[in-house]
Amino acid sequence: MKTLKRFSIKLLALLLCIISSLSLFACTNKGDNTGGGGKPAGGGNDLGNLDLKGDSASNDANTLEIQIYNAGYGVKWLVDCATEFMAQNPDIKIVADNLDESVAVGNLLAAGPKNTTADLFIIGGDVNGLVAKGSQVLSGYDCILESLDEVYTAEVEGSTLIQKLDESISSAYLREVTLNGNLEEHYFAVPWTSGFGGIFYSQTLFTQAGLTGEPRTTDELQEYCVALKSNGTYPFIYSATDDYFQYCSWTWWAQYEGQEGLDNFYAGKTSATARPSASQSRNIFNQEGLREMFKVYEELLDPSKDWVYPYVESLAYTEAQAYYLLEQGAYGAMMPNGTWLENEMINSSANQSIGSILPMKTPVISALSDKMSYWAEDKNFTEASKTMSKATRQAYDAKLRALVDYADGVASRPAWATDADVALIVKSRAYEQAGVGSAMCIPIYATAKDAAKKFLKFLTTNKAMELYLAGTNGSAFPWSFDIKNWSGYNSLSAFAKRKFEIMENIVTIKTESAFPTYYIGGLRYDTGLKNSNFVITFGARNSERYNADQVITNAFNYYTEQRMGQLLQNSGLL
Amino acid sequence: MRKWLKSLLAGAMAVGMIISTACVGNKGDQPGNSSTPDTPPVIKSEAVELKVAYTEDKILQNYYDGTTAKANLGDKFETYLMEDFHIETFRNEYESRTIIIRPESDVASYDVVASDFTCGEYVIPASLFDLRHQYYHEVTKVMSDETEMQPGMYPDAMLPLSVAKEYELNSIKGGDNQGVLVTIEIPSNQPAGIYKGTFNVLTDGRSNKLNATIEVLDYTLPEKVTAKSCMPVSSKYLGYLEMEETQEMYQKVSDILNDFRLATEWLYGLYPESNKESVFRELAYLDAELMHEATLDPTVASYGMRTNGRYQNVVDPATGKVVNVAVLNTDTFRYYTETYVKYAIDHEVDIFKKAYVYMGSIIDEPEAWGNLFRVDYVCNQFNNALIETAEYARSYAESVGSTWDGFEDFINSILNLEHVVTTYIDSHGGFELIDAYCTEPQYFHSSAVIDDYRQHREDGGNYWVYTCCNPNTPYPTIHIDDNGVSGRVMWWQMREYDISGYLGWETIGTWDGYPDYSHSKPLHGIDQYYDVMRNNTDVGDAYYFYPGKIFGLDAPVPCLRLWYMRDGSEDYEAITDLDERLYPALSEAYGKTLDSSGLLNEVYAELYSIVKVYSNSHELAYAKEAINSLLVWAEDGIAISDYKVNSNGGVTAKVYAPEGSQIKVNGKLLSGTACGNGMVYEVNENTAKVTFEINGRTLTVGAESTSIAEIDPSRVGFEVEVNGNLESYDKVTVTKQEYKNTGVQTLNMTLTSEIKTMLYAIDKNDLNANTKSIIFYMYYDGAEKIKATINVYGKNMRMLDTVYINPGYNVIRVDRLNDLAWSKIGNANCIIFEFNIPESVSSYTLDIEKIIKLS
Repeated sequence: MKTLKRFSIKLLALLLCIISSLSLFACTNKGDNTGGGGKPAGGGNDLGNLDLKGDSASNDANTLEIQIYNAGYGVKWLVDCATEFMAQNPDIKIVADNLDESVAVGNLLAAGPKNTTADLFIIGGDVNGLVAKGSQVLSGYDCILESLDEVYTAEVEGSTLIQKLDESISSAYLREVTLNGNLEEHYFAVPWTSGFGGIFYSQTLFTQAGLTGEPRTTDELQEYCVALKSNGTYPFIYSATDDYFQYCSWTWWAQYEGQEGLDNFYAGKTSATARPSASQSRNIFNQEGLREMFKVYEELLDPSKDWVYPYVESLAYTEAQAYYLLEQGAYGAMMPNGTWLENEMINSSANQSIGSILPMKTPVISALSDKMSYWAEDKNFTEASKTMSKATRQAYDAKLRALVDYADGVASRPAWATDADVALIVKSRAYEQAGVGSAMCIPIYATAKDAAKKFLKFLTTNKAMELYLAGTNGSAFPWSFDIKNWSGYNSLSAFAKRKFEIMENIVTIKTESAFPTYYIGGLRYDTGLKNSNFVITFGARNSERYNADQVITNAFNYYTEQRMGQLLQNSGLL
Repeated sequence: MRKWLKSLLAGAMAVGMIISTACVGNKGDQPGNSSTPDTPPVIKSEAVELKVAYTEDKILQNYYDGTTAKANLGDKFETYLMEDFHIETFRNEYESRTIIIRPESDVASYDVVASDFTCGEYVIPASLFDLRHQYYHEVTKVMSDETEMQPGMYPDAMLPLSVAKEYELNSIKGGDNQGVLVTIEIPSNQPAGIYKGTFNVLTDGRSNKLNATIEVLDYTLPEKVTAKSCMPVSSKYLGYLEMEETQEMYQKVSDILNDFRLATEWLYGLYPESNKESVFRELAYLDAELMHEATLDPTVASYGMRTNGRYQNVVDPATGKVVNVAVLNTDTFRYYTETYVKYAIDHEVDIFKKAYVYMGSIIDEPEAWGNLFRVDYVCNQFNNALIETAEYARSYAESVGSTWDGFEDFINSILNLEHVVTTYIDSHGGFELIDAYCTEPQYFHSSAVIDDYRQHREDGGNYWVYTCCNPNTPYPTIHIDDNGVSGRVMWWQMREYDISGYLGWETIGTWDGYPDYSHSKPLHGIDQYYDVMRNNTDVGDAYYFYPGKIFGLDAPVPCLRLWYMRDGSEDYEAITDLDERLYPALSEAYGKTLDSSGLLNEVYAELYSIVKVYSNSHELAYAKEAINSLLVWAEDGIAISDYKVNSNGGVTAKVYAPEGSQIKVNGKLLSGTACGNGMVYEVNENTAKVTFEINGRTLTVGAESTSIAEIDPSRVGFEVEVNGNLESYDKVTVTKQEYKNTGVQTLNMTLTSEIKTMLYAIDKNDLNANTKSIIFYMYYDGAEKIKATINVYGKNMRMLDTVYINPGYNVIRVDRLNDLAWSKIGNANCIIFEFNIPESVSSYTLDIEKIIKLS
């Protein structure tokens, strides 16, 4: 007999696989770290002299054993950082193993010191659920993870990690746990990736279609798609089964509702002042920002527009990416992906180039117009769009684009813009789905804890950042660093430069993994989709395609009063 | 392997110690020694602590080897342990306790020897005691998010003590707990009385005597099992469990389950070895022979009839598309049922009467696996197949010239053959054609949904309960890492909610699926003792046996969880006997309709609210003693009926008893009036805490009552839904007035269907962590019943229950409010009713009379 929980776990595994930075190797060749096209020239998983190759490491306090999940960033950065660290700390030896992502790290940790000898895990995903379970994860320990407060508060090169991290990130890593009978807050993991997910585009194909710059709004994105298609270029290519387009959903949702809207959703509240209840909380799926976000996909992926490469349903992720990197109109100009794309490309095959592909600042959801002072309709964006003329909608969007230009610092403030308009656009424009889904953590029973913490502190140094930048072909740790004054900056690709440009002022969205309704209750905002897959749901070329309203209705119907009540009770909200 | 070596070494040490002891002096010279020359010297030791635990308390091997949380748990469970070994039991009932042996220093070898128990001339011989060594298994991770239990060494496999001794597993590390489960089944002819005896706990030859009493009550638990059960035993796992995939081994498992008042799904255990029609029919014949025996066996309440599924192209009515899905294999079903029918008619035995069909291999948890339309499709197939079977039965009976006078009842049994589907009534609005819903405990989530199930039964359906990897604490589970109270209390809930059967989806799951839940790695032999972490969502689901062959036994070893499941099942049967035999008989004797439900509700209220279980073993024991009292009194012709907690906070009831009975209530001797063959004694107390003293037994139920939140219009507010949000609504007039010339003052309000909530303000400390129950008294005047979810609200809201409010007078009670997370609720200042109004009701009137609390 199979159970609901097994179903949820499968979906969760898929989601973690996606959100926790898919590598070229991870979701396609489980356990096979050589990648699809032969052994990578760049040594994506090559741990060099660190490599334990599955052997046992010495269990002494000065042998730091690391298990690392590649996550698309490769492991060269770790090799380089470890080499430098060992040079500075000759009494400490670092060894490492590639982590098989098919085994949940939580289970590795729960297997205990007899079975798990690693002193430091470097993984995708978060550890919130493990921390929340406290002493129940492994006999004999109040919490399965070592507190990393000293890593966060140590002054390294004049500042602490807390000071160097954006508050939206550091707050996501501060967790509550009961230690020695007392409820306390501690840090149990350090993030190590700063990539974001979104849309990536070929500047060459854009230029060929007469397009300059990046679309500022989702309506403008649609105009770009029209232009591309007119020029014989498919706007989008992706692997339908590996839904990276989902990254944008968080951004568009947050742009419309703000972080507070997402917080309310995951608190089971229809508004900031509402009470969670079995009957009322079902209405969280009627949050307008959710619908507007789904609507963007409904319009973008409408098969009648023929904006998607026809064979996406049959493409594996590696194939889709490989075609995309060819920058040919026959395949696609844009691909949903993550900022690890460049590094993955380098490590996967020596013959491909990032070419003119650039990350796109996620366009602002055009529905945001209905919150602006210039909105003259008596309905929300989607409802009004049913009857308003195309010209009217374009006119509204033109105003929104003007606000975006102002927020981006490339134009002056429009005369008609109110302070509220400006505040809203600045806030919305800043959101990106930048991962807080990575963790470096130390098992509570590790034998080289001090060495591990010392290494983590080293990683917060400028030297380590430079090695990480170089080793990942331009990715950075998620704490502040003066990238433009880095000696290697000029040699960064346009891709990497654009990435840092985008990330300079982003606000990280706190997504589902931070909320007990998700990691205990299983609440999913994408419940109404087919298999939680945006591109299959909205892009299906047959009668099984859903529209935004159907997705909302599906979710509302799934969360019956009984189911919602139970979820809220299990999550401690009711 | 290391454990084996350790036990061998311990055994060798034990042998050494015994030899050395035996060589010291003459045995008879030791002080206090009353042993025969063949027994070891008796030396009283103060270095061993002996405690007694209720069976359902999982006493871990050690609590003080890790975290503060675990140590706190140990301290808590220490308070549950008792000094005395005392059992109160019926005839024909199994009862047990765990003796906890806790030595200060290492013990190489322990033993427990029971004496005869005597009561005057009557004896319960020592040979009737079943003694089990509790084998501890490592639970490395506790799976439930809400439980207080901690990782550690949990008792589960119950090895016969003789086996533990033989294999030298009977050593105890100093400071550890070693449980010995002591079970007695009181023979059905055992005279009532208090029997005294001892358990001699020998630790390395030193004697530690534990005095014990067994009180046999003057009541005999019926042999008949009425609660249905379905415990599938996949014969393929017999190969891993006992390396013997045979009907003989299957029968052994079945017999053991029968001892625990449970039944396998199929009586014949093996699968068809080919797809030939003849093979299916032969299998069905073997089934039928065993069904014949089971039909006549009162200890078997139910058994499954075979079905198979097959993949078939079917049109999904919602989409019009053809899909390939699993449906009933009507061909093999026909082979089975025709064979069953022929056997039944040939032998004139209705083997369909106790039968059911578990649809698990065809439709299982359909809301999880999609294609919901299959449920009604398959049920339709099934119903059509039954009609054909009945027609076949008629034609076969005619062809053989049957004169069976039970034939028409047999036809009814065929047509009413129940199919059981693992789903719940409020799944997707329910399914039209399901006979018996088989629902996980958490889906009996409110009084309203339980009423829905009852209505389903009134409409001709039925409902069971099943456990699985879901749910976890605080819902009832049969998991290793859960305390056993909820597994036993589940049967009380089954009784209260009229749930007719229990299903466990697999009984001998011998795979290692952790952490992948793959079922792909089989476990063999001793590994099954070591590896209880077999699933990644729970510990212990789907397996209740351990290998016995490796210990030289000819049958598998049952687990502790079966013991408290049996206790629960016996509780169920005892209450059923009270309700369905004893009180009806007394109703005739007194010429009145006697109803135990009011008093039973007080007993249930001690244990749970709806389905969540937070009660402990002592509360359970108290509830069991309450039932014992009711049964013993009923045997003496005494019944307590019409028990009610009224809106004035007092209790009224009637005690029916033979003339000359001494009936005391709250210390006052009552006088009765003649009634039927005896007397009736009126109970009218101004408190909701009532103590009955009758014939030397005492029963106290309820708690002190207090009226709270005196009715006042200023307390009441309302909300309506505007654009998905609740907003205050002030257009309802609430007045305090007399209700329909009854003299009763109520808060009267007329509401419309747009009103979503009623907020009733309460005073600070009206409800808090000391509150046991809250009772609402109100009148409802509307076209038909409405539904309301009742919540308590302070800093946060907590849902109490969802109920139907029916036309007329409503008494709505919620129990065990003390289980709520009051630290999260804070000071409760409001009770919120969330209304769910059917379309047919546009307006209605509520008259709130009173709210009282019991604390």
